[in-house]
This record gives sequence, structure tokens and C-alpha cells, in this order.
Amino acid sequence: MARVVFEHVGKQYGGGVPVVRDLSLTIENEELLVLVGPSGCGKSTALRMIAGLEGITRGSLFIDDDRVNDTPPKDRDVAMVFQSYALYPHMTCFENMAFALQLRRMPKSEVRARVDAAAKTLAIEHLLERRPKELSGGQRQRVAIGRAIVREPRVFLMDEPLSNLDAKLRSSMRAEIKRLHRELAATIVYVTHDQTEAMTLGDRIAVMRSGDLQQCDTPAAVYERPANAFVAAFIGLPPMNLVPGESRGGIVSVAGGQVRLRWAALRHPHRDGSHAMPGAEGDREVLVGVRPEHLTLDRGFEQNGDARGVVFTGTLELAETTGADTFLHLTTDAGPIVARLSGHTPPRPGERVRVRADVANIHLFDRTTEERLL
Amino acid sequence: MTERRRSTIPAYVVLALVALLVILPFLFMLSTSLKPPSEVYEIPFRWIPRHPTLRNYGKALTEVNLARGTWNTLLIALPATFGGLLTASFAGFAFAKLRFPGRDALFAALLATMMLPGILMLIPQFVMFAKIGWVDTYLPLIVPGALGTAMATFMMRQFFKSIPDEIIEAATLDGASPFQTFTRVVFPLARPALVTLGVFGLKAAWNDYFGPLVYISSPEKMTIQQMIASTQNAYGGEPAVLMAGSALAMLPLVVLFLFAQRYFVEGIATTGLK
Amino acid sequence: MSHRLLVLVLVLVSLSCTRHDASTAPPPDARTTITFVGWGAPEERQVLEEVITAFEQAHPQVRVIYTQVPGVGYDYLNKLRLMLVAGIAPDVFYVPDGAFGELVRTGALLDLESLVARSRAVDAKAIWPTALERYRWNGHRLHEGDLYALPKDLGPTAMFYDADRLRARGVAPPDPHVPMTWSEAVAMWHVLTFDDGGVHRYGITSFPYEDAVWSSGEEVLSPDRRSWNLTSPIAVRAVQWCADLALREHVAPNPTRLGDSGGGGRELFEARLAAMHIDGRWMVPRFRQLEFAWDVAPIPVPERGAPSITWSGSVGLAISAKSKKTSEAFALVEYLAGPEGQARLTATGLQLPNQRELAATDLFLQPGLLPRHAEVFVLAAENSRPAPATLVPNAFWYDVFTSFAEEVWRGDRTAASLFPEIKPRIDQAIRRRNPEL
Repeated sequence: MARVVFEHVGKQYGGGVPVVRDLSLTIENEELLVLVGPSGCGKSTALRMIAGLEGITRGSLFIDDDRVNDTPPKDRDVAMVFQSYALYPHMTCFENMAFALQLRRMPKSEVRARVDAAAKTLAIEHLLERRPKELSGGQRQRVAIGRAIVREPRVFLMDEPLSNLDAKLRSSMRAEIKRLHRELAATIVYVTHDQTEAMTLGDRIAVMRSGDLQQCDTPAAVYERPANAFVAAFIGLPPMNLVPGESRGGIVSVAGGQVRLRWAALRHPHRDGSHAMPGAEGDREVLVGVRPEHLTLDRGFEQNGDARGVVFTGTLELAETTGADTFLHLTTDAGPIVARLSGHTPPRPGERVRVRADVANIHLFDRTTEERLL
Repeated sequence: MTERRRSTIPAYVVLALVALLVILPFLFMLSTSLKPPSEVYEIPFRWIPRHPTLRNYGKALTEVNLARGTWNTLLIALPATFGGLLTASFAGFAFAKLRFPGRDALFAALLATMMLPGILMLIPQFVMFAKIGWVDTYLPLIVPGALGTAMATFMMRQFFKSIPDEIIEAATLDGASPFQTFTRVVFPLARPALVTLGVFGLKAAWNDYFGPLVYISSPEKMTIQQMIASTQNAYGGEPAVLMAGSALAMLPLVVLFLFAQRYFVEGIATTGLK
Repeated sequence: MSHRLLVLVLVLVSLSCTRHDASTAPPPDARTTITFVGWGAPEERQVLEEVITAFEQAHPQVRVIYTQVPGVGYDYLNKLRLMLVAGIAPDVFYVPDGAFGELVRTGALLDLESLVARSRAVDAKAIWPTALERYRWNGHRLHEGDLYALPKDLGPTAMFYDADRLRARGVAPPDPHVPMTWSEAVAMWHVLTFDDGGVHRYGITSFPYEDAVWSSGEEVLSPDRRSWNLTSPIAVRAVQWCADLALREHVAPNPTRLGDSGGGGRELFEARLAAMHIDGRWMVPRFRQLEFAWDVAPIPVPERGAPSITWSGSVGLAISAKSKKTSEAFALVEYLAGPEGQARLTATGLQLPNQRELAATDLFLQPGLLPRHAEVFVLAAENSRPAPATLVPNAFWYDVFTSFAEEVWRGDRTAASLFPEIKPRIDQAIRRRNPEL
């Protein structure tokens, strides 16, 4: 297994808009790194650059200290699992998995051994003599993974492999991939647009947007300390509530006077020891962020601007129950707010509701640069 | 049940009419081939001859060396068609999936040649072949076809374009060179297109009268179409014998079509790409 | 699978290549080889090969490769033109008199005048004048000047008739030496036109308009050949008479039934759907295979005493102007056109020999074989002429005429009203494309 390093890598088509901009990222040996982001953010392109299916315009790409910018794909020793599986339709599953090995003139017995081993790991031995069109989506996915495994490559690349499966299958396959990762001790670069997948699978997540890397860190860090408003809104379902506000003279306020916080209160070290960014206290327009699960129903009578928290008051538009949770969609003077409650009997739509969050759970972002302030 | 019947009856009627229209010339040919000379020119035209006879077939078989004609025609048709399929596949794949400078310009030029009427090129081609001494050989009839016609290349390119790029990328990552990708992954998938082109190519080569006419003079090299045509000579011929000869010449093609029909149907269903 | 396919293809390609080598590689030879190309029926091929063998025996230093181009109609001419353009013209080749003008004007034919004058095998004076003149060209007029080809034959036309049919209808056979008049002929044809149990049979297939015009004393083109002449009342009447055979008298079938095969209705005669048919001597071998008795008679004339001036066809033997073996080529030409060659070729029954004296012998007359009155052809030959289309080198004007004449044959217009209208166009076609006139 190997280590992949992007060093200021950029890609541009012709004279047009760059697809990947100045990407510098290290994927450690035996790590499962997830590249996540909305469509068009460049994650698939970055993945394909590792494979050699896309060229690199600027910068260098290293696999295990070899600069591979100009190495042809077949010499890079990487295996890829495609979103559409890309199985060879006219070959049996066995032949599909054996193809790469046969190309290398591996002796038949060894080919057989490897394929059987991979098939066992993926529980597809009974499918080996069938053709892809006779298999279900999930089975095909496994064959595709098996095809990658038998090659024992330096790096596994997975391009949204689960997005064509139904929800239930998706979650079971997720677990399967996690298990494989451990069992094979493999370096895996995984691309998805689904942030749940990213959070559950990755040792680390790299969030991308319009060709730029936004943040690369463990799922917990990305979740609790998003580097900017985009990452904050992208990671976490339902997304973090972001409300426009103002920071003036040491006081952060939100439209309608719902929130009035003093920097002094905010500057307190939070539960995980993060601090405000230098210069964060200056006057500017801000975005105030609070995650839905940090909002609780407020039945008390405290006024706004309490040092202990913030309160939003609004009308309940919709209450969605998933069984375990209830999501309240409120319209407030500060904008729409979503709160997550557990279990409660929800208030009825149309009622006036108050939710509150603790000061410790408030995120602040510069409204213009979207950079994290706090 | 009656509902379904009612809506398909008009469809069947239309189909039957069209089928009848299409088969009419063949029926005419068969009818004439069974007539004695005195009945051939009669008006009003009779479908069933009054005195049907096999004499025309007899004459056709004696005047036309069917075995030799068939062999000669095969010697031209098979290499031209199969060679053409191979080269058209290679070229079509290159145009569809490989990237190289000037690719699109070359392809546009290829398409442009399809706009030229063949007749325009008759004289220059003949002069060229005469210069290299290929007149009265089969080479001018085989080589251009075997090197891939524009039409065949175009069709193969369109077909290959429909193969997802990912399959080819997968093969590349698996370690296949472009040639290996072509022979082991792409070409086997091309069966429906190849069968279609092969059948049409064989039919065209089999029926070609003009090409052999221009290039072949020696009687022992004549193709079957030429042989049948030569039952008619400068002093006139017997249409009934011509019809009988044509019917005989058509036979191999009919057999081919009947045989290839199931490949047509099979090929239309998509293979398990996804 | 693809490997096997590849092998199959390679085998077949190499097979076809080697076949080519085996059949056309000439044996190492000290003789000069000349190529000779013509067309014809399979019987002719055999005869020609015999003639060539005899020639090779008489000229052991020459070897002839003879190719007979199969097919009908324009196939031979197109092939010849292609070969000329590509520079691979044969040394000796057939030139039909209709194509002579076009070919000689392009300079493709060798001037034979002096060769013929010196020849000991061929005596130009012994050849039918009408046959010889067709192959002359003086640089701006045809039928005058030097010889550029020698006639291989002369093919006069006569009126073939179904003797069995005439007998069955009680019609006396026409006189073999005195042509019938038009009115006599029409009356006879009426008797021969009848319904036969649902099948309609006709008296005659068609009548060539040029025979009608010439026998009426008119010419198709003016003496200087620069204008078209068929607008005179006599000429118009002659053409209309031909059309009326179908349109008014109904003794001939509608022209559309005659088809494009260029036979002018010969199939109808062969199928016994018409009792008479005007055609050339070359049909005789083919007609000898018919299952009914037939004979020939002179082509009818407008009135008693008028000469029967009719069309005859001919094929010339020419040498390519680019040939490098002209003396050997001419040796073959003079052999084929001389008494020995002509004797053999005439024996097929296809042609009148180009030597007048031979025509009078049994070699041509072939008693015992149909037609019983073969002398009809000899008589016709004297007065016969080449087709109007051969009068000037470029025959486009004739195509123009033919396309307009359709309206007369169909009955949409009369000759009297149409011909004056089209004369300017035809004249223009003649002059524009034949500037040397």
C-alpha cells in the first residue's frame, strides 16, 4: 500500500475555467480518505488524476515518492471501482476479475487462487460463472470491487461506487467497504457527494468546492470546527442553520434583535478548546451558525441576549418526524431555522415557538469571505 | 381479448400490403423464369404461365457456369467484406475512442468523401489501376472494400461511441494497451454492428455488376452477375433465361439472409452493459 | 475468434492474388504479342479463335491475345473508352461504325491509308464501297479522306417474315427480288393483324424511319451536313407513315411495347407476336434456332419502281494510334479483312463478307440453311447506307432528335407540326459540337 501526495496540482482544459485549483493534499498509507463535495467540485477529476485518466496541467502527483504525472495508467498500479461498475459484459465474472492478471501473463493457478480468495471475501463465489447482466446491482458492485482487489494494487480508487444502489443496500455496503478497508489494510481514495457516506467511511474527509480544497480533516473535526460556511452547511444533515448578522463594537447581533452576544462571552474557550481567529473581533458582517441538534425547545421566559445562549422565536411551518427525531421548520425574523428534537410531542404548525442554543455551540463566519471566525 | 385483436388487425393488413409490394418483383421474376418464350411478352400479363417449363433454368445452368461464377464472386465478396469489417472496426474505434491530433478533421474528410458520387471517380480510378496493372484482376474489386469503406467506418464509429468510456478506462487501468483493449474488450461487443455491416457488405459485393464489368474481361474470371448478364449478348437474349439465371444467382443471398436473420434479432437486444 | 477470421481473410486474399498470376503470366516467348479486343456471341468467339490460330500459323512470329468483352449494349464501348483514357488500349479492336466518328476525331485510331494501299492481302477495290467509305476521315468530314479502319463485315437489313404465319393466314410470301409498295405492304399487314384467343398479334414490329425517308428520295442531313433536313413535306410524310403504322393502321404495336433492348421489337417477332420484323443479317444465326419457318424479303418502298435504300450496320477493325506493334497489328487486320479471314467469318452466317465477290458464293448464300433467299441481303447491300448518326463525328444532335421524336411515335404530335419546331435546336446541336464542319 502506498501514500499519495498532491502538490499544488491544478487542471485546466484548454484556456477555460480550471477544474482543479492548486490542490495540495496527502493521503497517508493505509488511510481511507473521502473526497466529498457537490457536483462539479473537481473530486472525480482529482480521483481520475491519481488513476492517470486525466492529465495534470500544473503541479506534481506522487505515489509513494514516485512522481507519476507522466506515467501511463497501467504502470501506476492503481485499481478503480467505477460508479457504473464498468464490468466487461461479454465475460463471466471470473473472467472479469481475472482479466488484468491474464494480461500480465500470470500463471493460471495463481489467477485462480487470487480470484477465488477475493470472491470468498466478497461472498460472490457462486456468481463467478455468470455474466454481469444476470446479476443484481449489489452483486455487480461486489464483482467490480473484486476485480480491483485481485490486482493487489498500491492504491484503491472508488468513484461514487454506492450511488446507484438503493438506500438499504447502500448502508450495508458501506459497512462492507469499511470492513474490507481494515482487512486489506489498503490505501483507499473514495469519492462521493453523499456527506453521510463521507462521515461514516472516511478516516479523513477532504471537502472540495469548485476545484478548491476547503478542508481536510477527521470527520469529527470537520463537523465540529468547519473551516468555512460552505463546509459548515455541507457537512451535517440537516445542514447547519446560517443566519446573517452583524458584529459591531464587540456585539454580535442578528436581525430582529433575536441574538445579542458579547464577544467576551463568545471568546470563552469552548468545550474542545478552540479559539476565535485573530482579528475576528473587528466590525463586519457575519453569519451566525448553529446546528439543528443544538437547538432545544424553549418553554422558559428568559429574554434574548442571555449570556448562556441564544433564542430564536418564530412560527412553526412544518414538523417532520422520522420516528427517532422530530425536525421543526420555523420561520423567524432572522430567516428559516431548523431544529432537531428527540422524541417530543411536537407543537402544532402555526404555533409560536421558541428554540434556544447554548453559546458554546455557536459558530461565527465572516459573511464576505465565509471564513471561520469562531 | 377482442380489444387487442381489433387494434392489431389494421397493422397486419398494412404490413401484408407492404410485404406484397416488396415481394412483387421477385414473384415477377419467378413467373417469367418459368414461361416458355412465346408467353414472355404477352399482354395482358399472366402470373401463372399457361405452360410452365424448367427449360430456362436448364439453359441458364448450361450457359452459366454456376459453380465457377459463385466461386469467383466469393473470391471477391468474402475478402472485401471481411477485410472491410476489420479495417472499419479499427478505424471506427480510433475515431470513437482514441484521441490524436487532427482526429475530427480526418473524420470530417472521411464523411465528405461519402458525398462524392461513385461515377465521378470511375475514370480516375480506372486510369490509376491500369497504371499499376490491376486491370483484369480481382484486386480493384477487393482492395478498396477491404481497406474499409467510409460508410462502414462511420457506422462502426457510431457504434463504438455508444460503448461507455468507463469500460475502456477499466481495461486501461487493468493494464491493456489500446490494441488489447480493442481486441479483447471492444471488438467482442461489436457483434450486432458487425453482423449488420457484414450482411450488407456481402450483399453489395455479391450483387455488384458494374465493378466486375469495368475491370474484368477474361471469361473464366467473370463473376456470377457478369455470367448471367452475358447470356444476353449484342444480338439480344432471352429474358426468361435471364430471369432464371437471376433467380439462381439470388439463391445464396437468400440463404444467407435467412441464416443471418436470427443474428439481427439477437443483436438488437442490448448486452449487459449496466 | 478474431484470429481465425484474420487467417481466413489472409488466405482468401492471397488466393485471389495468385489466381491472377497463374492465368495471365505469359510464357516466355520470342514472338511479338498483340492484343485484340472485340465483342460478340459465344459462337463468334469460337470462330475468331479459329481464325486467329490460322493467322498465327501463317505468321509464326506473332502471337495474338484475343478478348471478347461480354455483355450488351454500351458495355463494350465504355470499356474501350476507359482503356483508351487509361492508356492501355489494345493493339487491334472493333470499332462499330456508329462510334467511329467519335473515336477518330480524338486521334485514337491509326491512319491505315498507306498500309492498305501497300497491302497484298487486302484489295480495297474488292470491298463494298458503302462499307469502306464509313471508315474514312479527312480531318473535318467523315466518309471522305484516309482510311482509319477496315470493315470486318457489312450487315444489311431486310424484312424477316414468319413463313408459317403467312401460310396460315393465306398470305402469299413477298417477292424476294422486287420490293413491295407501301400500300401493298399495309394491306398485307392488316391480314396478319388479328386476335388469337385473347392474344393480339401484329403484322409488323416497326418500320425504320430512315429507310422510309431515303427510299422516298430524301436525305437526313444537307449535303454540307450542317443542317437537318427532315422538314420537307416528303420527309415528314415518310416519318409520319412509319408512326401511323401503329397509330392509325394499328398493324404495328404501340412503340412503348418495343422496349429499350434496342431490338426494335425483335422479341415480339421471336415470340410470334408479330409476323414481320426488319432487322440485320447478324440475327440469322440466332433466328436459325427459332421453332418456326421464316425467310427474308426486300424492305418495302413508297411506290413501284423506287429503289429500296436501307440501313446497314458495320463493324470496323482499327489499330490504336498508340500501338507500338503496328506492323504486326496490321498483319492481323488485313488477314481478318482479307479473303481468308472473311471466308471463315462469313461461314458463321452472321455477316455479309466485305468482299463483294465472296457474297455471291455459297459461302454466304448457304443453301440448305435459312433464309432460303439470302440473296435479298446481297441486293440490299448495294444500296445500303450507314445510320444518320454516323454522318458527323459528334452525334449529340441525333440524341436530341430521338428524344423529340418520341412525341411523334406516341402520337402526341404530328411530324409536320413538330419537326419545323425542333429544326433550329438540332441544327445548333450539329454545329456546336462539330466545329470542324
